[in-house]
Amino acid sequence: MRKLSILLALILSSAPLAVFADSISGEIKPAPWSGDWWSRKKGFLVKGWQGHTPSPFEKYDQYVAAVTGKNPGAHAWESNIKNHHYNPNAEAWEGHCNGWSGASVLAPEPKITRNRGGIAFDTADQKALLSEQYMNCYCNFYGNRYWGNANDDMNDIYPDQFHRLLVENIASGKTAMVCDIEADRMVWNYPLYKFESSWSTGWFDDHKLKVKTTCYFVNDDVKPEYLGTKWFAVNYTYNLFVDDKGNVISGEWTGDSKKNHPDFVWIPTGDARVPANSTLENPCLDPKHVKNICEGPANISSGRAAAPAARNPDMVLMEAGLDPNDLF
Amino acid sequence: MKKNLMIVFLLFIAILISNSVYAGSSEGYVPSWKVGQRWVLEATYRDLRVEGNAWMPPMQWIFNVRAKKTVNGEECYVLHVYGRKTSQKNQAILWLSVNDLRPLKVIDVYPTASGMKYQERDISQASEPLVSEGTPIPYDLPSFPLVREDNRAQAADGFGAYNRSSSTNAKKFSRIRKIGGISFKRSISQKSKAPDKQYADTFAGYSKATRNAGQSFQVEIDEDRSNNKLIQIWQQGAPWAVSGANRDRRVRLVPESEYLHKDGGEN
Repeated sequence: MRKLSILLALILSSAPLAVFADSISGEIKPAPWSGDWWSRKKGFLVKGWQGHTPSPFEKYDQYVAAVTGKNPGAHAWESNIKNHHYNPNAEAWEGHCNGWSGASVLAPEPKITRNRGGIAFDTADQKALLSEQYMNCYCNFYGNRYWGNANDDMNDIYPDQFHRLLVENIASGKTAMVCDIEADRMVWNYPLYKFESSWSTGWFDDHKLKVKTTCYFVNDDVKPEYLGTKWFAVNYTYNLFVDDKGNVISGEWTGDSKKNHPDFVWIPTGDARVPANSTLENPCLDPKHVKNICEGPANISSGRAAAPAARNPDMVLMEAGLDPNDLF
Repeated sequence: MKKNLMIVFLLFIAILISNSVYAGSSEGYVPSWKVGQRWVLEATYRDLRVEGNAWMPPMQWIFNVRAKKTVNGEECYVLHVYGRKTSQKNQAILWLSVNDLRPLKVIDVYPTASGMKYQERDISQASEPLVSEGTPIPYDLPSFPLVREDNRAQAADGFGAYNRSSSTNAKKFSRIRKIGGISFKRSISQKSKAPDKQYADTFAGYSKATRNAGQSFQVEIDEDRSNNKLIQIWQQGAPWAVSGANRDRRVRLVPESEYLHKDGGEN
């Protein structure tokens, strides 16, 4: 019995008993908004939907024709099957989720119906136009997209990189980020705006942090008229490996997260023009007109919004809360 | 006798001059700017979300040396970077040491759904490369001074040093950053050498004065596990790297003649 006690004491004294635990959380406010993902197969953008006709693109063409005297042809372009934006035979998952994701992170949620020259653009119309406008946008990209090629790494995006992005962007209050939540070849983009993470070292391995993180994504499984943020949560587990000095140097997904983890992360930074000969975005949609429709007062009788005031770089700094006189 | 003395004297002067030139070049290269100086970088971005080799339309960024100020007792350039078009809302303000362009403070300004915001970057006070991340603005800077162990004189056209077995100057940086209760270690390496021959065309758009101003450097900045090596070409006489490229970004310094006369202004 005494020998057993000594043995137990020896084991306990040699093991690092002190389990270190900590946590962090973060949330972006206001959260990105929920909206329809504008399925290619359903074609709401060009056909409208029950109780909602004319369609958002028919209204857009009417508005621009009234303002400029010329039909921009946005509806015709979007309807053309060759442009891959509407196709009754498209895959059920194909749509505008990336455009909606970018718009919901960078553009304020349209919350009121806006009448422009007698044409009523309700919130669903405005979200539709914004989702198309942001189909092509500049972004910072993290990780590598999984294409199913032999040299593709299923573990990417690595959990240490993912965790760092959560802390740098969301815990710091900087910006929401968009994740393709499928680690495999399919792409499902959702804005991530909130997370809660906790971790501890193991009893016998203080070179490993066992992390559990709950991520909150904005849902696009909503009706086009939906207002606000509907979310869903996903739990991820991973280990972060630390060196002798306690610095994270790598990581590994664990449990279900080995197969179910984000593939890549992108953070939209601004709208982009459509490259020549590209069908990624409707080239007949002019951001200037979309802005006039989606911003400003509820009613503008002439259809023409006031010309935006010219802005110099210092005015942008002031808008951000910086004083150029202090800086320069 | 007088003639011999004169020859000895001239030889002595020549040795002095060559020594001072050598000493200067061995210290390496650090660009220097003047307040009010500005230049334009044009960046194109690869869309890694989509299949194929898709590149986005280019954006031009104006780099404007707005002031010199003292930060932590050190004289700094205050470099203001903004889009040439007002639709590009991202901006950056960098406080860079006059001595070695080491960043002492960096502020990123960016758009959000609720308006413009800014965030000060967590900058290491040690001399290490500044990697532009979390912003589309290509303000990547190597750790200066740049040195090239191949210090052979270049030919008059500036390309004489290409295609030689140049030796490489390599540095390693380990950066520990504690964020959110966890320390992350990032290892960055920087190599500088004479540019590979494939970059000779890089200089074609620049004036002869710039091309012949001095040495050129190929700088490679790589972070462990990032799969995103940045290669920049620096040329003495140019205010910034004349070109840069990584997996998702290609950047070039726009020659003055091109941006001063193109569309006349910044909107």
